[in-house]
Amino acid sequence: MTIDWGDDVLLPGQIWIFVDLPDVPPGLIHEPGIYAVMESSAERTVPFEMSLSQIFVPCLKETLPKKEGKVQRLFYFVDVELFQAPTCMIPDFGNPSDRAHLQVTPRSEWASQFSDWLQTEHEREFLRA
Amino acid sequence: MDNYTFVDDSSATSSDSDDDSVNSRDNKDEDPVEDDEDGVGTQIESCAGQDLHAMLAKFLESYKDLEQSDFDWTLRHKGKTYKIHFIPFVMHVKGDVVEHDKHCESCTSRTQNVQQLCRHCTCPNNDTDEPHKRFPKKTPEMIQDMIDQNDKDGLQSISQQCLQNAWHEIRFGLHNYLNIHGATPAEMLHWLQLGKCKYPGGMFFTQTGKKNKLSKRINTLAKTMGAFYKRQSNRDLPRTDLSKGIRGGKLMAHEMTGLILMLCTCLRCYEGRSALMNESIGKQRQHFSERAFIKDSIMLLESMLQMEAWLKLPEIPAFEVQRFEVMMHELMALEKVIGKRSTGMGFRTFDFHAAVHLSDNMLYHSVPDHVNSSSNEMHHKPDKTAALRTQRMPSKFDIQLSRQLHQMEVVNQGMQEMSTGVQKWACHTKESGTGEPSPQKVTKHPKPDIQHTGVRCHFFYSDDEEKWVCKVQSRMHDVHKFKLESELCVCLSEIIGQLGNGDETLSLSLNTSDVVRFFEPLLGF
Repeated sequence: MTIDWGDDVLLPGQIWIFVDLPDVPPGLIHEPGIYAVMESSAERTVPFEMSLSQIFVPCLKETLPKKEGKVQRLFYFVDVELFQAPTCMIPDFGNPSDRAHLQVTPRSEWASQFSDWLQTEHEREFLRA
Repeated sequence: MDNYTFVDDSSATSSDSDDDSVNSRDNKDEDPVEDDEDGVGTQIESCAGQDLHAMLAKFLESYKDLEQSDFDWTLRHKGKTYKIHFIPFVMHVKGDVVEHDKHCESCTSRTQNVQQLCRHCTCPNNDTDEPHKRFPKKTPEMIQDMIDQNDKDGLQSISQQCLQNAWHEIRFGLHNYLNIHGATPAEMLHWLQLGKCKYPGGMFFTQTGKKNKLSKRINTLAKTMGAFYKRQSNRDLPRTDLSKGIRGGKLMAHEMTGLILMLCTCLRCYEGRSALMNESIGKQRQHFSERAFIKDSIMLLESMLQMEAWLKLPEIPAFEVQRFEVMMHELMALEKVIGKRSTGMGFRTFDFHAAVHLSDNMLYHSVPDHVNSSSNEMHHKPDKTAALRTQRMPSKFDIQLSRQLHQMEVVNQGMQEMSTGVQKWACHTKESGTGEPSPQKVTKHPKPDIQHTGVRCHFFYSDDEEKWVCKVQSRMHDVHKFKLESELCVCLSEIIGQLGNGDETLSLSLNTSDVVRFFEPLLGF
């Protein structure tokens, strides 16, 4: 799920569970509603990883500092009203980092990617020729 | 259609007759020139292809009369009445490759001995895999002249059959003068999904080898990935959960996109990429030894996915279509370089070459969705379902099939009425003349409330067990196996602490799926 964190920051996150809060004691920042416990991730900026593909965007899950040599998950408690759009992320199998994932560009954007390519000058040089 | 005759099969195949020919039984001794004078025309020997066109000519007879006379019609549109003079013409003919070849009387064989594989142009067989070459298009005049002169060698040189084409006397759009030869566009279902999309998988596993460790590993990886694709909040993805992976099994047209996506994912992910680069041996190293090679393959597969999505758009700007003609040549060249297809006729196939004409076809007949035969093919589906519900006994099959079809339709209508409130059979209650919809159609059911779905559970601190526990309210089989990860439990206990200011008697109501049905977390995003 893509979450709108404000200030035009849209990041994908993995939902772990939903929490229904019909009654919230006064004085808390939370309001009654449905919330999700989830992890967030950010886009990787390694040039090689980014240049490999247009459809797959490399991402890395946010984590807490290691504790006893083990990576700690970082959970967020998010109001479902902040959900911006569904997304697809699959683990990058074999990657040295367990937190590496690949975000699949929504299918609805594939056509516009192709349109963009059609309108640009020839640039898909292939290396095997 | 009036000016030709054809002879019966028996005369054409008779062993007694040296004349395999052309003359009908009745006019055997007459001069063909005289036939023309009598308005009979060139005589064609009977064959399956000519039979088809004779039948088509008969079907189109009444339409042809209408086409020649045009007609006036009072058209009711959006509450207004218009008097319109209609000039009918045929826009295009939907069909698969074989059917289109028959309509164009093109040779249906696809072997290397055939002179030309394309029904649209005069591209020689050897140049079929050349993306940058263009050849003159086949026109009805070009073919009809040869038929009239009985020039069988000439027709053979352009891989056309010596037939009287029923379509040549029918009016097509005036955007070109190609008649049926320009009105049989390659379409999404048969050309792209069932044709072109099959090649990448085949080419890839030819390069890895069909039965070896590497291809098995890639296939296993694809199956694993397929399960992850299935558990996503984004449902707008092709089907990727293929039981036999990407290497085998018969796939349906709509699964082909999933196959390409799976292959692309395998190449893109670290494990697939490193397996190809590090574990390839022998001939495999020609294709996968360098990272750049894999990058090229990803680019090709992604381009195919993007192109398919682009071709499915309901509207495409004309400028992009014109650019597509240029860029398609590059894609074809890319496919040749990367695919290195050597099986069969290599890239000398109609499926590969047809992409050259795609741009023209789009300019002539609008977007490919407009000529897609997918919706037509879908009509077979209820019949197949109904057929499976019969006893499959020849004597009772017809009646049982029709009963099942009827029952299925009744149930569908009932379900439609229950879900939308629309009664199809009440369409006659629509007020005539006003254009207003009937009251039934206006009625809208209220949207369903937000639903809590998935597994429900309560999270609280158990004094008996002296720890945080999760009690599941479900009748599922292995309910005792349901548990929350320890890190998640810590997080939830912190939330309870925050909400209750340290009061640990509070509990949380949890759902594994919520709000709308497509949120299915736990395994994926």
